Amino acid sequence: MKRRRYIAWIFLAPSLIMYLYFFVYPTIEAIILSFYKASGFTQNPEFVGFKNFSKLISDDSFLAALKNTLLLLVIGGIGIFLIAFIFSLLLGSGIKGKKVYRTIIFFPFIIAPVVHSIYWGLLVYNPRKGMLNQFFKLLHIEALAKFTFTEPKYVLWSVIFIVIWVSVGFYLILLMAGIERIPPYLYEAARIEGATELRMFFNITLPLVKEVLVIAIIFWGINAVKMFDLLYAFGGILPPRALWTNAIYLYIMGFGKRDPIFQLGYASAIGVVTLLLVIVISFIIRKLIRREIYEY
Amino acid sequence: MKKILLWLLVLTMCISMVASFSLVGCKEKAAPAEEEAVEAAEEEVAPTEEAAVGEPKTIVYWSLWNEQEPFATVVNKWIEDYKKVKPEITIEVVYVGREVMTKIMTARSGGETIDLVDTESYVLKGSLIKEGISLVMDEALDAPDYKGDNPWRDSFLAGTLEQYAADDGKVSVISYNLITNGFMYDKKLWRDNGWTVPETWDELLALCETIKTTSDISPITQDAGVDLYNDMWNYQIMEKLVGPGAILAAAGDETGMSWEDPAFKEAIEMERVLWDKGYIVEGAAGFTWPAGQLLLTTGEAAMELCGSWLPNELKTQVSDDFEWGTFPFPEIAGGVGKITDMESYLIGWAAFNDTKVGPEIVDFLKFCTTPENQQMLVDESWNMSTILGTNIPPAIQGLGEALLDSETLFSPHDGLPEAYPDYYKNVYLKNHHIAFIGDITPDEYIEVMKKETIEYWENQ
Repeated sequence: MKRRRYIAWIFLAPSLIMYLYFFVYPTIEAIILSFYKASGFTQNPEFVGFKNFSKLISDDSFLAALKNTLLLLVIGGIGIFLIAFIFSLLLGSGIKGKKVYRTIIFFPFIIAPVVHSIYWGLLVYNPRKGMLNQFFKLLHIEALAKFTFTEPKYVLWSVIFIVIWVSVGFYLILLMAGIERIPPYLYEAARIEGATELRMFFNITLPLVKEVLVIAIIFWGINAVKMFDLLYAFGGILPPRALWTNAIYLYIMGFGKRDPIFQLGYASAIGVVTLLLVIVISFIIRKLIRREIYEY
Repeated sequence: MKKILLWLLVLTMCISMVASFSLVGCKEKAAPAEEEAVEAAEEEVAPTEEAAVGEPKTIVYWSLWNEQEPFATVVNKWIEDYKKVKPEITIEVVYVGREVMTKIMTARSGGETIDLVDTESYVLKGSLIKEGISLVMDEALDAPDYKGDNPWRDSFLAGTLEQYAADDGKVSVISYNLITNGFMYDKKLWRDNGWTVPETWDELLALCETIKTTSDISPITQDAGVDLYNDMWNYQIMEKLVGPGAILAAAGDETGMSWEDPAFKEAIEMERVLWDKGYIVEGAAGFTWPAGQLLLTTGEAAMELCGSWLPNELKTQVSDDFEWGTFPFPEIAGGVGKITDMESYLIGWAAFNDTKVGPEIVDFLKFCTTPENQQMLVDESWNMSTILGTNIPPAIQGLGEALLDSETLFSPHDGLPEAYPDYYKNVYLKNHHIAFIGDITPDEYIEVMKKETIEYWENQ
């Protein structure tokens, strides 16, 4: 037993060392740095205690970024899982060409986020010549044909739509992996008893896919909070302010974006708050969705 | 055998663990030594003596240009030519791209040696100069230029060296690329339609009305999704109304009361006229860059207010018969600014004060700033040089002439990015953007600027 434990430690050691060095150590460094005023160019940061954190509370840009992060997390999450469930039920209903549909739905996920930004920003949402406005023009829906989907008031919603479109495929694959494990006889028995599709979904599918769902939701939560590339690239030269999330705001304050802001200490404070946010979100999700093990 | 293998594995793991932690330790221990070096070098100035002949030296130079850009082609040519003159000096150039300072910050924290950098001069002022880690160039500037004819300082267009000097007047940034701001248009399109260049704000509005009513072309295109592009209108109007420095002064006023100056409200009202009268292309508020500027190339819009980099940026997008024309921001009746009061947006070099190759850097920069070498840059980049004796690129003739006639040069965004970068980004650009596109009224803009300026200073 003792020998087996040694061997386990030996095999764990490389990843553990890497985890400690590349994640735990920088995290501790970032937490320490969040108590300093530092530009990153010199080695003499000034200790400011909790000032960076107190500044965050009254920083409108940070609060707006936090709000955007939470909207992306909640609205994006609802959209993704709702559509993924609908698709998974449709694909699981014995439809022909299931694999083809699954591939098509998954396809946007394999395209680089920057490509999505350029494609949607310049070709789809372009208020003058974009496909979306042209489509509504064809349908003679004037209000939508002239609608500016990317002006500051609406751009976040337009981008959340892209995020949903991009992400559905990935979460669909995860959910389908769980759904396909459910024995068909459970559905057959329910059908014999006269259960509707909706009832089967809530009473069989949802409870039995819960394990996978929890992992998928936590995974989405982490992805949403740290989402950067698609949003950052959306504005071309500069990410539109209405799309700033915690991750983007952290980057801008820490490293500027062609502006000499370079407030590394403050950016670290944003990072610490974001880390806490991820921990809290994971905790809430795990608490809300109790893990009950169903054996079948 | 198994036991030996097991112990070998354990040993390897231990060594790797110790090695990784000692790396961390080394970095921590190295910090004070680096600190001392920085302190010692703080007062360092660029030596004026000749670089030692024969001794091999290497200058590590990180640049904001990308390898594919015409600027990089020219820099490569300079380096190649310089190598022929000074074979003992190697210039190791790294084309990092626009966020060069971000990458330098990380690289230098990791102990990497970088001697020379070029980027926007306001970024150099807001980083290297602000932190006191730049090599002061005044002595070198007072020494003869590369050809040995005149003091090096005399090679530069008046005001361009001083524009980004430190608060004590010491010069560290050697600016070489001179960008300005104004209107860009297609001369042929204008000639065909009989439109003439406006010299006053009223003439500009009248021209916009003519274009709107007599053609299916939009008078003005605007990449209004980019807040700093929108601000070009505001700071240009403010410069023409009250002269340089008003926005900077208002940002620095901790009471926020400076924003009550009627000029600030008037500027927003003037900008809103362009939208309300339909002079700015429909849908511009939602344009994702470069959707707006592309309308200029297709002839769907008559003009764009932008930096003088635009002709070079769009040169492959325009048709063969497109003739670039440019003109400066017009004068405003009752305002103090002249039509020749021009923006000076500079890109320059700065060296770190802990460099071991100060004399070599100076010599290389003197070589790069000869009129002949700078002319190469002008020809390739279609932008002006700060070096006297270079020509104005034909594509920006109108702006170039105004710039050379200028008695007043002002910094982009009235100098806010280098003075108060976070205020510029999080207070000024944010609120101007929403006022510009009409999400708040001019009165609301003034109120929010007052309020957020006070809050900004309370948080410092």
